[in-house]
Amino acid sequence: MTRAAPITSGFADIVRSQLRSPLAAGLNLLVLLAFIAILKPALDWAVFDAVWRRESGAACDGATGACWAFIGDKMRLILFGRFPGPEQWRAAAGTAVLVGLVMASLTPSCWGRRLVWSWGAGLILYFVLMAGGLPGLPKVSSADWGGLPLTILLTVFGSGLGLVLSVPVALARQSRLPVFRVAATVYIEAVRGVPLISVLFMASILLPVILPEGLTPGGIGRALTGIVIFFAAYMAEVLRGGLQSLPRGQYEACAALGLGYVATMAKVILPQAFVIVLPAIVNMVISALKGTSLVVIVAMMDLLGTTKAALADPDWIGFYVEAYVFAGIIYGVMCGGISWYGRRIEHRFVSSREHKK
Amino acid sequence: MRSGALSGSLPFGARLAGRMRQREVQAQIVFCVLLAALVWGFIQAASGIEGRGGAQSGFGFLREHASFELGESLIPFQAGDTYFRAFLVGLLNTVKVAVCGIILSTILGLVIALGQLSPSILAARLCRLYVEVFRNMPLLLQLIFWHTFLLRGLPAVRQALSPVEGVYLTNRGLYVPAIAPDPAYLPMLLALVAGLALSILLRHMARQRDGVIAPKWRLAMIFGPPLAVFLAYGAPFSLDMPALAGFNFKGGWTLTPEFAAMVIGLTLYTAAFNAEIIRAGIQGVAKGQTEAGLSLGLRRSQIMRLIVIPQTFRIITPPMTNSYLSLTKESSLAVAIGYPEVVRVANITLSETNRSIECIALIMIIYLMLSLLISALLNVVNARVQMQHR
Amino acid sequence: MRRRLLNVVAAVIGLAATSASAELLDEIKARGELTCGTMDYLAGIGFLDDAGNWSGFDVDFCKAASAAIFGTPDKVKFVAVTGAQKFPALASGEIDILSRSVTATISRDTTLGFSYIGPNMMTGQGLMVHKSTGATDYDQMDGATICVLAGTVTERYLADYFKAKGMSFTPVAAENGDQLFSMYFDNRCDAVTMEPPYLAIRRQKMSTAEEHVIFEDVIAKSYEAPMIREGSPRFYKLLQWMHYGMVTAEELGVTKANVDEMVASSTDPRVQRLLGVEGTIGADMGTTNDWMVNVIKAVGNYGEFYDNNLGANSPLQVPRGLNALLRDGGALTAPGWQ
Repeated sequence: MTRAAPITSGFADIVRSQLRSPLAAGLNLLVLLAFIAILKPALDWAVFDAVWRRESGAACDGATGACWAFIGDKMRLILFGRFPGPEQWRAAAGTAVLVGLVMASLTPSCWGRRLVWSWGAGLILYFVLMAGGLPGLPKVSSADWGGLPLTILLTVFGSGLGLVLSVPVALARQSRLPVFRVAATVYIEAVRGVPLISVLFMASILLPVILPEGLTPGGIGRALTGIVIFFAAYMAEVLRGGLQSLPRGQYEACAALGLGYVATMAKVILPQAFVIVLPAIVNMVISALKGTSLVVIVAMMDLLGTTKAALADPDWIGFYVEAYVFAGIIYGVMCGGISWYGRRIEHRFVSSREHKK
Repeated sequence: MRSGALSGSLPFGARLAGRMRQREVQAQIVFCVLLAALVWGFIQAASGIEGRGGAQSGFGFLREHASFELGESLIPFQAGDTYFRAFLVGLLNTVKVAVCGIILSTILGLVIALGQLSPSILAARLCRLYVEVFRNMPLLLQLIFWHTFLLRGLPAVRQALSPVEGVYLTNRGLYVPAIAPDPAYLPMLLALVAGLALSILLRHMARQRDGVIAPKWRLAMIFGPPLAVFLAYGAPFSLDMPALAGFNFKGGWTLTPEFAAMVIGLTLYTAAFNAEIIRAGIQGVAKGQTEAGLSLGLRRSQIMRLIVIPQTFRIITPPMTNSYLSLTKESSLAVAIGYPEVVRVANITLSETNRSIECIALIMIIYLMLSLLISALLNVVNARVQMQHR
Repeated sequence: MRRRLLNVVAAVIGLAATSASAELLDEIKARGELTCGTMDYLAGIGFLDDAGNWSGFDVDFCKAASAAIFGTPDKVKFVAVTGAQKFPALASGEIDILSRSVTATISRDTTLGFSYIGPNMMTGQGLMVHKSTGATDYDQMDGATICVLAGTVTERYLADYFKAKGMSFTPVAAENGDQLFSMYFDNRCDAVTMEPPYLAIRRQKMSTAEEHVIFEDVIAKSYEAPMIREGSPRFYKLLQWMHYGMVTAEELGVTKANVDEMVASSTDPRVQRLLGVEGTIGADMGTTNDWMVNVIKAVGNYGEFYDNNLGANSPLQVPRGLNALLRDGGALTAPGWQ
């Protein structure tokens, strides 16, 4: 940025223009007044009158501000659920590995063979850390996985496996073979017409009924199945958009080179389509992250579930605002972060594509 | 490969094509067989579960009598009515919450979109912040928060807030006076419908002769007949005032905290998405259009009302359709706060009758029907909006 | 090739169908573990603490069953199931025993295809009411708003009761116990309905306990019983007689503390038969002769089983009521152990 000077004068210009138009000036004044009116009580509640530390049993009795001591007391429960206390670093480390892998996968410059290997190694590391069973790492039952690691697990595997499943579905939806096309269309439209909760109910209640005994996955597996089935349909539609936006010439060039269907799709069409739809897929990941909170309705302890569990403690009654604000900030930061990341990727790719033209 | 016998007599390309096609047919048949096997296995497993106690499967149970109450309902419902009626109550409650949510989230979304585009930087930033905060938090969290907020934040029945005589705000709901039903109201409704039909008919006839009817005559045509009926019956009008009787307020019209939490949550969440759609729609109207308006000497508000908004409609109808569909489907989260809509009714029925497959299928069928209905309705709107763009 | 594929599919499905019809007791033994569906949120009944330990009346029933089959109480995998999940989970074979305060009713027994053990807790459905409403009896409850737990038989009984009395009420449904009671304590409802012991548990946890009255006389019987799928007669008999055995042990004065001594030195033939010192009842049932010794070591006789979780030895102090032995004025009894 070498042209810093015009920006400062621009700032003055902006201020002046804000005062010149009566509408802008009036609105600014209104917002400012409302802001001041809300800011003082909000700050009093959240900071000045808040109770930060638990000194006695009833730390927050009679306090007029927020009871952050409650969050401090319940932090472990909210973040990690029932994951055994001494082992919770494992859940944190495993989740960090998972998040790192996802971030690399969302960056097209990292795409390549090495990423595939990293995923293999990372997944093994992840499950070893989470489940344990090795010397020095006591076993942790998957029923005890909860809180933020569970939310991230469901989001990452739900959208990741959903994306994997969406590829054949999108290709089938585009296929000229009627059976595949009809089947994919019915699947996509049916799933998009029903709410996520009904698919989760189906997975959690009907899966054990339908599947033979012994093949039924546990709670997490079932919730995951529902999330994958649901988001795969949406992602297939996103991917179809990408496939359709590729010029016909790409297909014709492949045919001219004598490439078969699989090679055409895997080497030429899909990589390009993925880059085009990446921003839309990032949006689907955000939807999936928010959608995982529904597993609380089928009695699972994700971040929202642990927050509700923390609120059920009779020693701490009535601190729901603090609890939901805390959980809301975590969700907000995650969703906001993903969407910021998505915009950055989009910006870089759009500009690089336009640069080439 | 059975095609081996053909391969000698045909050129390579045709051979390949033939083989491909044959393989494609085979693949499709295998897929069909697998699918059929899956469905067959599903039916076997399902009938194995349900047949065990000698109970019949299928939707026949909908005629049986449900023994639960549902709380709030648009049509009368009590224990002893059929499961079918219970599902109907659930469907109506879903529709009620969805319609309120759609209307309010559209209005709020429009306000926020205009705020984002307003010349005031502070207002624009504030609206931007709203969008970022509300769309990045799970709807379920917001709904549970609002429900808890209404229960804890509002006073108990005996300490009801009463800003105006007859209006009571408690944590069991908002009670307001209702207009007491009177025999005159049905004929008034019929007169209104008749007036409406008449005005549409006359407008159609006038159009054919390239004429117009003045708005005041049209208004008179629509509202005149019901007013005449109202006066003919001697202007009957009385309010049904809510009053504390025993445990609760009786009479009047009630807005339960569950319904209110649903509407507040759905509205605030969906408005964030609607604002983005509307903002993109307004910005999508070519800049030249606004400049043309300015050069004609129109004021900014006039340009907005006469030029930008009508064209924006054309752009935003498809994405708004999706937003409305999402809202309707997301109203199913009401089950978490005990509002008696479709999923809650299905949930009770499921645990009373153990007809898990049928109940989940019913949820899906009802939402599929609602989705199709909304899509169809908005397709009509879309077609109209597009046609006006001559 | 196609036909072979179809055969494989049919075989897999056939296998699943046949394995479902085998005697569950043999299957559980082969598996080396019992799966038990219960709840994880109600202290005294079924509760999972932050450290991952399961406790409570319903949990202990499954621990006792594990002791009866395997000799130790820890061969149980507990699964927390919701009200809506409980029957599908049992019907599908995901869990072997449903021990989740399920009320035994004729329709559940005959049309759902389940069998119940016991009943091992006899109670009824009562109400807890805010004292500030002034209500002291059911007859004064006309027009009340009542919180109910979704998907339970209480929802149905309440509707039946009010209908029979010609009164009306407005239900407010909650998805789980925590939500139910937080709505009641927030004054969303005038009353909350459940079995009086559970009402007492929840009231006891509140600092405002004296502001709530519990109507102890009940509007409906609620006999709670663990449930299993039909079609495994030996598993059913083992659990049924385990329950009777625990009652018999209390009648005979066999306790957790004295069971070893009783095995070694009791001369009472009834005690000797119960504890397998004499006879081969246990082996005939498909387990070991000392199975009741293991059960009593694990959870005690019925009296200890009740008192440690709900009654005198627990913080909840729920009286025995109907669940006292017949000779003590309750309704608890068992057929002879001959």
